[in-house]
Amino acid sequence: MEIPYTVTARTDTGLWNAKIGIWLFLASEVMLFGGLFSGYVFLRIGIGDIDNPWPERQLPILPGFINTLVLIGSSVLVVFAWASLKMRNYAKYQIYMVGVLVCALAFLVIKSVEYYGKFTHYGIKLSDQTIFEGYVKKDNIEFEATDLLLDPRQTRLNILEGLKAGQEPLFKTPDGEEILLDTAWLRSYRVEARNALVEAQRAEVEAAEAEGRVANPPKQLERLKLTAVKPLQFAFNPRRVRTYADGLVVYQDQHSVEGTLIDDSIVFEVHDINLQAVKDQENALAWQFVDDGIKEQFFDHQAKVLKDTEARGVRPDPYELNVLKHVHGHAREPVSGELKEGGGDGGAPGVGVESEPSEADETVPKPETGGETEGVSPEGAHGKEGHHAEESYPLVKIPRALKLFLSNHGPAYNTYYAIYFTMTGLHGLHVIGGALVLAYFLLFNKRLYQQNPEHLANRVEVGGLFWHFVDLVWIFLFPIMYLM
Amino acid sequence: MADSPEEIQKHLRTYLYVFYALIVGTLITVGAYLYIDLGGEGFSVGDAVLGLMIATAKASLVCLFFMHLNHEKSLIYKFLVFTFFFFLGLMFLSLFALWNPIQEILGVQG
Repeated sequence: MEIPYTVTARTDTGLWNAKIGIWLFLASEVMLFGGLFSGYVFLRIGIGDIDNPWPERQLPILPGFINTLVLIGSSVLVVFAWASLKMRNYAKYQIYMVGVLVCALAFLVIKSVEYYGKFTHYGIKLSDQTIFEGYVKKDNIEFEATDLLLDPRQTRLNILEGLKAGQEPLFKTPDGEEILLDTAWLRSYRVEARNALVEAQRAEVEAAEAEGRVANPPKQLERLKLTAVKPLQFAFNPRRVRTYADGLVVYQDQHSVEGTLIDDSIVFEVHDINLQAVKDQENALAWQFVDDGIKEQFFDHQAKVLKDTEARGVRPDPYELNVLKHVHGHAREPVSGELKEGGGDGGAPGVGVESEPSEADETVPKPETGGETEGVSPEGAHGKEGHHAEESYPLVKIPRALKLFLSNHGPAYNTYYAIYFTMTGLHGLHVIGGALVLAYFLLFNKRLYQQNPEHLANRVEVGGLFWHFVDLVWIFLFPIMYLM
Repeated sequence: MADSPEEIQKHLRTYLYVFYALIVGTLITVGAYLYIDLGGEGFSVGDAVLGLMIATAKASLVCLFFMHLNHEKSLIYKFLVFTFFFFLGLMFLSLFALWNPIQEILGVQG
């Protein structure tokens, strides 16, 4: 059956099918993005007190600016491509369409670079709202375990992920048997223990019947304490640890280890210091970690901003006033030469680590090397090149207890990044979708053009309408995300 | 019919002008940020109005010329009137949430 009005317009509406379709679709798209813009307004207006400042203008403008131009360029190219088809000039159409796709690719590449920078850039908020921004160099919980408490109800044994390389998980059971702990052993132990419980319960029921009393309820599987043959060194990913204390780490899989906590501090390379939400800046926690030179830099910077804005008769921007960018200087206590250089021979990580930072030089595992740092969270590997080559950013060691929040500048970082990634991510998906459709027209619709050029022109018009809508969304996203 | 090849040939020049206008609009937005200090003294209503006005002007150009809304069939306009109405509704939803009467009843500062 021939579908009517695919190419020619209905006489009453003056429209062909796809045109009605795309406008209805765009109307629903307006609702989708409208909801998100509304959410943005809500977040933006609802936030902004001193404890929770809206992070204004945290993105570099240049990539956003270039991307705006790229999208505008692609928009005009898609119109030209459509016009070329209308004038039956296929060669020109191809050239313009390739231009559109190049623009789309350029947009996505720039966006990816921007996203990558955000995902590798970290911030840590301390208990007095001091924020250090920079790069995580070490973020794990080092622990020396003498005993392991197995929960036999669990089928997995993820706790051994934290075991540093080069060690066998050799344990002694309460019966004195030496075993190599793995999931197979755990499974067979569980089967045995369950069977034993069932047997015991059966015996109990029989005994109760013989004695004419009610049988006791069945016993539960109990935790099994295994003793390490040799003390084992662990470096746990803190996000996998349920809870921990000086002598105990409870892992996500309910198993736990007992022993000695060696080091749970976070080593952080400080690039920016943000005291926007700190009430008493003179005594901020920040100054416990970086030396007095940096403290001076901060207050000099603040005095300069105040003087500048006073001279211009304007209110100082709270972000500019309270953030010291590109900190130069040293930590109050040096952390580890090895981490700073990113070299060294590695040695036996974690063995005999002392709590004094200066002594820990040889033993803090390096995020840059693979092998022995399995417990180091994946973030540890980021930001290793180029960030500390020429400029000396202070490398500070922060006790985990002082940490309120540690995250990369991803959606979890704050409300701003949440809405930024939601909206630009959704917009990016639209760019990908639009580019795929237009690429399909370019690559696979030559025969359609030869059969009925108007049909392809209509398709490109419809694809173009979607493309303009994507441009339209960006026209609003650029000022509200990058500039305001 | 405005979409005949001859008409389109004439329109090409218009499209180019619109393109230049959009670039100028973008430059004005960034210039406003750099020199007039859009948002520079902290976010204010004026900044938002200025930024959104420029963006709306650019968006209008895209809609009118690139999306041919300056000469479209009446059915499309009817769609868009409804869309605009519901879009406004969406925007007011968040404002209603901010004028939360429950917080006032409880005596909480909203």
